[in-house]
Amino acid sequence: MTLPTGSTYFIATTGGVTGLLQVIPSFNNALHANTNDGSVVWTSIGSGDYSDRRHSR
Amino acid sequence: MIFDLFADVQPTTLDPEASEDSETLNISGSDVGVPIIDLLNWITVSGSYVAVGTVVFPGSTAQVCVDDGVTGTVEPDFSDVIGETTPDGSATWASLGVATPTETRWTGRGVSHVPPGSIILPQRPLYTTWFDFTQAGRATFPVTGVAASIGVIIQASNGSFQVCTQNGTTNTVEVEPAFLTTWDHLPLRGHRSGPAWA
Repeated sequence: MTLPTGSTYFIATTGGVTGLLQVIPSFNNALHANTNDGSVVWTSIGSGDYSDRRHSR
Repeated sequence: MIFDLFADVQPTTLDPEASEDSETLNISGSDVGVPIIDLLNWITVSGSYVAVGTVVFPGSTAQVCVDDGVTGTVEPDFSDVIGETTPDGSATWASLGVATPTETRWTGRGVSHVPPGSIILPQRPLYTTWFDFTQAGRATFPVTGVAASIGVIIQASNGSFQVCTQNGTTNTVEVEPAFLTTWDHLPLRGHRSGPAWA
């Protein structure tokens, strides 16, 4: 089992139901690579470090 | 999003029968398993040319390129106000609004419905080493097992990560089990109420 790096965003390109809580998918961080998670398919959209940079002007 | 649709001109049929009023669409050279649009993060396009219509997801927002050009090397302070533009090198982005990443599903979101288009930033869950996890059991006399619950993640001495898939109490904390390094279930160890790891 590999753990997520915490620095790559994924978008659900196939909707569905995620796997069991304890079944951690091995997220593929390569750009546009797919990762299966139950019936959901996550596609990598690239790296980034999420911080709350939302702001309204 | 761009669709290129090519079709041969078909003769018009009046009062068609069901068998006549049908078409078979053949799509070749396309992988329908990949996104229709090129999904990118800002870092992946930094310092490079971006064309009008390019969509990126910097931070918690979505941005579309409205003036092509070469982006800068420092990420701009993007706006989440829809329509507000942000210069970036010689390119300009317009905000599509907030595209908030959801929390990682390991915060209690297993077996949940996910609609297409959901964006996540999976976080590395908290984990401890097997030695530290079982330390409390060794600190007592006589040595006791340690309770493990579903979802607890430990790192074995062989470097592999293990997740508890069945509640229970470890049987021995003096000898580390031979944890598998591939994704598979380690059979119940110790007594019947022992935890299972995968």
